[in-house]
Amino acid sequence: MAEILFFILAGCFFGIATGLIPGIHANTVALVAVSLFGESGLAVAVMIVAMSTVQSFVDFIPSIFLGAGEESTFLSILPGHKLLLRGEGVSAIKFTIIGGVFGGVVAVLISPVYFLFIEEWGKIIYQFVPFILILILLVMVFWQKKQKKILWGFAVVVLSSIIGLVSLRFLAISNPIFPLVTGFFGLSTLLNSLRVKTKMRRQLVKRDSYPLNPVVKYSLLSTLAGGFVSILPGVGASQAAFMAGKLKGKMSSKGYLVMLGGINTTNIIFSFFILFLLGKTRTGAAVAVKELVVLDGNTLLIFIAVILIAIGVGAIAAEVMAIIAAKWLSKLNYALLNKIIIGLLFLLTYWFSGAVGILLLIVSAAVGLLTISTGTKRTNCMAFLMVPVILFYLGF
Amino acid sequence: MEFNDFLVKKVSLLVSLAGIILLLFLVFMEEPLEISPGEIDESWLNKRVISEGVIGGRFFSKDTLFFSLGGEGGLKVVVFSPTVRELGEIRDNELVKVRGVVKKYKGQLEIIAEEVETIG
Repeated sequence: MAEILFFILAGCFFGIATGLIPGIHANTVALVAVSLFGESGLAVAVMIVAMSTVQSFVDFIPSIFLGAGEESTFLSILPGHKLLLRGEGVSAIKFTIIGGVFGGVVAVLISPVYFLFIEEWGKIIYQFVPFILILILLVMVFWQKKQKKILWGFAVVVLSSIIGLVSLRFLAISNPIFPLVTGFFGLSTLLNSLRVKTKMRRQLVKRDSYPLNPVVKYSLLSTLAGGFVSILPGVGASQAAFMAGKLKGKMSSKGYLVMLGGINTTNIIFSFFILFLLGKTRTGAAVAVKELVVLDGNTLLIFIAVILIAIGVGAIAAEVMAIIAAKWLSKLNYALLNKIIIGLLFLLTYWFSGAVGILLLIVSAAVGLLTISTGTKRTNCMAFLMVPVILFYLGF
Repeated sequence: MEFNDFLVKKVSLLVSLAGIILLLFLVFMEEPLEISPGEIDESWLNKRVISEGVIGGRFFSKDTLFFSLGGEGGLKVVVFSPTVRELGEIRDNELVKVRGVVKKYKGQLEIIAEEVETIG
């Protein structure tokens, strides 16, 4: 028991670290943890669950404060930035925390219903996966007002699909997902931050009040969106937020941030649930967990307990870190920090995927920068994963 | 030099296209990796490999030749439209070298053979 508690604490610590450092994801640490401490089984699995959950709270800090997000949080950059420019960066983080706590707790509470639903309908839904993914892809590209953005969005989908197909199907490369996700969503954002010379404004730390009704509404929406995409391979938190946003229509920056916080956390929780129910791995962390433990009822209960602990720790840690970041980040040399992180990403890519991985990193970062410079949605880059999945399910 | 959006757009598009061409070139030039049949797992899916082993469980059906590499219960190898030479040479207990792509069919890994050469 003491060992488990130690690993939960270690997971929370690593979750804070991976959340704060852009480009370093819990999935990466999970891979390293399995290779180094794989024999510890359940203890390491518990660490990974705690780490992923805590990270889902903390990783909004670099997204909102530095504009350096992961695939799952980059949509928070724009609404978060709006509040940041008004000196309300800490409030922006608090909105994502509220969404994460409500959404996470709701996800755990509705888990029996979710389990029954997946057991009854999961296999049937899986038969329609390629068609649902095609529909999502079409909506992502064509649900734009300006024709120019549709064209650039289409170009990004084509480029990302080719890169995904070549690297996932034909190249002899280990861990191709790492350089691709890092390039599309991490490195491109960091390069753009260097280009636009991000500067921190003086941030206010104040008591915020939150009306309960919209919080409950957006949290429920995030749980539904997170639950829905959990059964779709190749679709992540960003697409869930995109679709929920389209369904809900116009919403305030605060509401959007609550919803994103909820989706980010529920997406992680449901990824572990779906691993138990169908044995499907949606994230690197889930892959690592699958290698470490026997998936039975006892393990599931332990994981639910760990998730609830990590939700609490993640919420407190994210708020404390946001206040610290607000006070200290303006004194740091952002450009230098970004350059160090970029160097680290190149080193990690070489370690995980070799020289070909570096090429993938550069090419995918170029496509990521193309979305930024053309003002198209970065979710379109997810075609790198969606198109190979569609083709696989269609039998190609 | 100022990197405005227009310049970034042009540079990133050029780098993307050049990178894709280079990736395709790498795929085209890629040498198959040599691996024994027993070591092939999910991580080898869609990779081009060369694998050696003894043939077992050979059978021919609907213009397609099937056999297990590494004896009975080994890794399934599929040869679509085999040549007369292949039909003659590929026999049980022969030691062969197979060049092909690792695929998954009905949950089982298999090699779709591009070339089968007897070496025993």
